[in-house]
Amino acid sequence: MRYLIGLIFGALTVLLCWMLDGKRTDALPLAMGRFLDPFGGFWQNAESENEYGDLELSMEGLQAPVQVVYDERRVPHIFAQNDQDLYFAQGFVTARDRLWQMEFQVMAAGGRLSEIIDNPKVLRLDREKRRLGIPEAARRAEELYQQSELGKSLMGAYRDGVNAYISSLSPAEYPLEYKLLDYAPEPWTNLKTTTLLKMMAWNLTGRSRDFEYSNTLVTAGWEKFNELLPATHDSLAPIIPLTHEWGFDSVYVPPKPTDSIPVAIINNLSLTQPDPANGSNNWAVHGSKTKSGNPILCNDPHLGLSFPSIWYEIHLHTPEHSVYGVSLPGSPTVIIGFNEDIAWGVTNASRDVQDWYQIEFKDNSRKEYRYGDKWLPVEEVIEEIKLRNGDVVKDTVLWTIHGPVVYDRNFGDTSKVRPLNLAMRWMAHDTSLEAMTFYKMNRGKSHADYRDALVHFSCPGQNFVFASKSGDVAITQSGRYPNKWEGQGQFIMDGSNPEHAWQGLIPFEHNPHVKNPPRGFVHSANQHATGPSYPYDIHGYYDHTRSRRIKQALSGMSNVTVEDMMALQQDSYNQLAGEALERMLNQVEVDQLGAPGKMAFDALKTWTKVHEEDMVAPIYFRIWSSEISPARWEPELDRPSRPAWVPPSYLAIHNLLATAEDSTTDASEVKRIKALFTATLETAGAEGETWKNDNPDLEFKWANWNNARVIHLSRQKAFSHFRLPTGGDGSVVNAVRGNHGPSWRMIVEMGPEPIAYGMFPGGPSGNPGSYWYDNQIPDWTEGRYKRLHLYKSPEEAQKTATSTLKLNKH
Amino acid sequence: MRFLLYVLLVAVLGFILAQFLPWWSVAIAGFAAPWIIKRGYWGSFAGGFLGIFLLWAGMSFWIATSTDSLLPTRVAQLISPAMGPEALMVMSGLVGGLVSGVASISARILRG
Repeated sequence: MRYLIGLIFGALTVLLCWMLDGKRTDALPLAMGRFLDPFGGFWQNAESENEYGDLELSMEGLQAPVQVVYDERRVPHIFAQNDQDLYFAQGFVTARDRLWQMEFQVMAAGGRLSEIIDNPKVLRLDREKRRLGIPEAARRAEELYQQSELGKSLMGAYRDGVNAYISSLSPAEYPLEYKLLDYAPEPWTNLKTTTLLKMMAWNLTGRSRDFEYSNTLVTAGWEKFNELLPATHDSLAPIIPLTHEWGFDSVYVPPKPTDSIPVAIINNLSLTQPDPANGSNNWAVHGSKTKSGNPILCNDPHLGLSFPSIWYEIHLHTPEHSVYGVSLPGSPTVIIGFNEDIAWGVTNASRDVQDWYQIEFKDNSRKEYRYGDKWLPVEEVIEEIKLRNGDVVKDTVLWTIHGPVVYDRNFGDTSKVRPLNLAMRWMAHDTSLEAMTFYKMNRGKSHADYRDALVHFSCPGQNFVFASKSGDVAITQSGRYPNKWEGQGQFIMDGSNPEHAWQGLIPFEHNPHVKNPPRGFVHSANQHATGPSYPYDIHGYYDHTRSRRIKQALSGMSNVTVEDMMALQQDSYNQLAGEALERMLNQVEVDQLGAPGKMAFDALKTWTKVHEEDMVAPIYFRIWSSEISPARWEPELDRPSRPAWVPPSYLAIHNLLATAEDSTTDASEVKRIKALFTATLETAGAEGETWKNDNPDLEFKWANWNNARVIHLSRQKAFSHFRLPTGGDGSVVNAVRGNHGPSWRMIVEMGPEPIAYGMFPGGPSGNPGSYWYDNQIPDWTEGRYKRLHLYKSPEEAQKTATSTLKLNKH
Repeated sequence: MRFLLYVLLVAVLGFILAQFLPWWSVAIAGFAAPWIIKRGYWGSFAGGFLGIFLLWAGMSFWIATSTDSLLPTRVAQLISPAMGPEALMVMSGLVGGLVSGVASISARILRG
C-alpha cells in the first residue's frame, strides 16, 4: 500500500517535471521549469557591466591567429592575416552578439517559422514566402555562389565561423530568445546567407501597387491615370541633374503593344507588403564646396527600427585591406562604409522590378499554360513546410516563364468563381552575386573600382553614392532593370502575350550615373533618378519631399563641414509645409470650423514648419495633409472592397491649390476645394481630440503622437522602447516615423585619413540582458554622433579597447 | 537542527547536480535526501521544498544583484506588466522548490 502511494507521488513528480519542461499548455506562457532554472534558464543570460573580459580561444578552421579588439562602443575590430580567416572571424564575432537574430530572420524569410511557432497566421506567412519564391530564389543564388571559387570560399568561411560559435554553446548558453521560444539553434549554411540577401531584396523591392493601379486604370482610363501620377513634373529634383547629357549609343526601347490595358479588376487581395517607407538618404559633397577641400559622404538608411538593429557595426582588417562600416548579420563583408581610399553608401532605387501576369492554364490539371501560340509546361516546386509538432504541410507552387503563380485556387482570395492565377515576375528571382559587389567595394581604391564592383549588383536596385580620397564624388543607380515599354508593369499584364513579358535588360552602362557634376554634390532620397531626357522607362515608387529639401539645402551651402552634415541628417523641416502651408490655410473657411478645427488652425498658423518633439502643430499637419488626397479621390476611384490607390499627398495638394488659385477656375469648383480643405482640417482637429481622450496619461505632443519606437523582433514589449524623445517625420530628412527611421547615420570626410562619425538606435549586443543592448539609444535620439575608428593595428586599437578576443588556430 | 541539515543537504545536492544535469536534477536532489536523513512526511516535503527554494531564489538573487537586475526586470515585465524582478526570483524558487518537495515526499513514502 505504501509503495502504491509512493509510486503515485513519484509519478506526480515525473509529471510535474514533464509539464514544466516544455510549453505543454496555453495556461503557462513558458517552459517554467527550464526557463526559471538559475543554472540553465534565462538567468544565465543576464550580464554584468563588466561581462566581457579578455578571452583566448582555439579553433579549427583558422589558418593563422586572429585578434579581435572591441573598442569603447564594443565595435569589433577584426585583424586577420588572410580573407579566409577574416570572414571566419566575422561569422564568429557576429554570431557571438546576434545569433538569434541571424537565424530568426532567415527562418522568417525562408518560410520556416512554423517549425518554431505553432500558429495558423504564422503558417500562412510561411506559405506566402514560399509562393513569393523567396526560398527558391535563395536556393538558386546559393547554386550560383557554389560555381564561383571566390563566392564559395567567402560564404563558406563565414558559415564556418558561425558554426564554430554555435557548436561551442551549451543549452545554458543559448541566447535568451531560444529559451523563450523553446527551440535550439541549428547549423548555419550558405543557403541561410543567400536567404538573408533575398530578404533584403524583398524589403526594398517587394512593394507593389500594381493591383491598385490596375483597378484605377480600369475605372478611370490611361489619361486620368497619367494625370494623377505623372511620370515627370516640373518640381522634380532627380538624382541625376536635369542638365546631364546621357551620351548613350545604341539605345533600344521596346515599343508599346497595341493591347496594353489591364486585364482584370482585383478584389479582396492582400499580400503582405514591406514597409513603403523603406528607403534612405545619401549624399556626397565635392571638395570644391567643403571647408577642408575634402569630399564628405553621408548616408542614413531608413528601415524598420528593431532590436537587435538590422545592422552590425564592424571593422575588417587584413594586410591587403581595411574597411569599416555596417554589416548585415548573416552575410560576410561590409555593406555601407569606408576604407582608407573610398567611402560609399546606399539608398533604395525604388524602381518597379516586380510585375504581375495573369496566367491562362490549358485545363484544370494546370500542367501547361499559354504563351504566344504555344503551350508551355509549368515547373512544379513542392514546398514542404514543417510544423513544430513534426507534421509536414505541402504546397505546390507552379513556376512559369513569368515566375511563380502566387495567387491561384489554393491561395489568396481572388474571384471565387474563376481564380485569376497571378504570377509574379521579380528581379530577385534571377540569380546574381551581390556579395561580390561588396567584396570588391570593401577593397576599392578609386572610382573605377567602384564602377567595377557595381557590375555584379542586380537586386535590390540601389543608388550607390561614392566619395574618394582623391576627390571624386559620384552616384550610380545600380542594379539590373527590365527594359520596359511605356507604362509596362504598372498594371496586371497578360501572361500569354509575349509582348507583355520583360523584353530584356537595360545595359549596365546605361544605368543613371554621374561623376563630379558642376553643382558640386550628388544626392539621392528615393526620388526619380532622372528627368524626361532619359531614354528608358523607369517608373517606380518615389519620394517627393526629402530629396527636394536635401537639394535645396546643399545648393545653398558653401564651406561645408561635418557639423553641417550632422545638422542636415537631423533636419526636420517639412518641405511640403514650406511650399504650401500658408496657401492651404488660405483656402480654409475659418468660420465653418468647430472648436477642434479652430485649435488645429491656430496651431498651424504659428508653426515654424519643423517636426520637433515638443510641438503640437506637426500632429495637425501630418493628419491634415494625409487626409486631403483620399478625401478628394476616393469617391471617384475607390470601391470599398478593392485595393485602392490615391495620388500622393503632395501632388494632390499642389493640384488642388493650383486649381483654386487659378482665376479662370469655375466658382463652384473653388468652393468645393475650399470645403475640402476645411473639412479635412476639421478631421485633423477631431483626431487630435480623440488621441487625447485615448491617451489621458500622455502629453499631446509630436514625440508622443509619432511614437518613435524600436521593437524587438519577437514583438515583446518588455524588450522594446516606445515614445523615444526625438523629432523627425516620414516626409522630412530626419525620417523618423513610428517604428521606422534612420537605422544608421554615417558621415565620412575623405581626407588623407578618413574622419568618420556614426550612430544608430540600439547597441551591438542582441541580448536583452546586456548593458550593450540599447545603450546607444540616447545618443541617437539626442543627435550625438560618435567617432568611428579605422585602426591600423591591434596595438592602435588598444587605445580605446574594452576587451580583446584572440582566436588561435587549433 | 536536523531539519536544517536536511534543507542544506538538498541544497548542496541540487547545486552539485546542476553542474552537469538539466533543471529537473532538483527532483533527484529532493528524492535522494530522505534516504540519507529521515524526517517526517511533512518535514520531508518542506525540507525538499525549502532546500531548492533557497538554492534557486538565492542563485537568482545573486545573479540579479551582480547585473543590476537588467534582464530580470525585463523578463518579469514579459510575464506580467505588473511583475518586478523580486517576484521573479520568488517564482523561480517556488517552481524549483515544488518539484523538489514532491520528489522528497515520494522518496520518504517509498522509504517507509
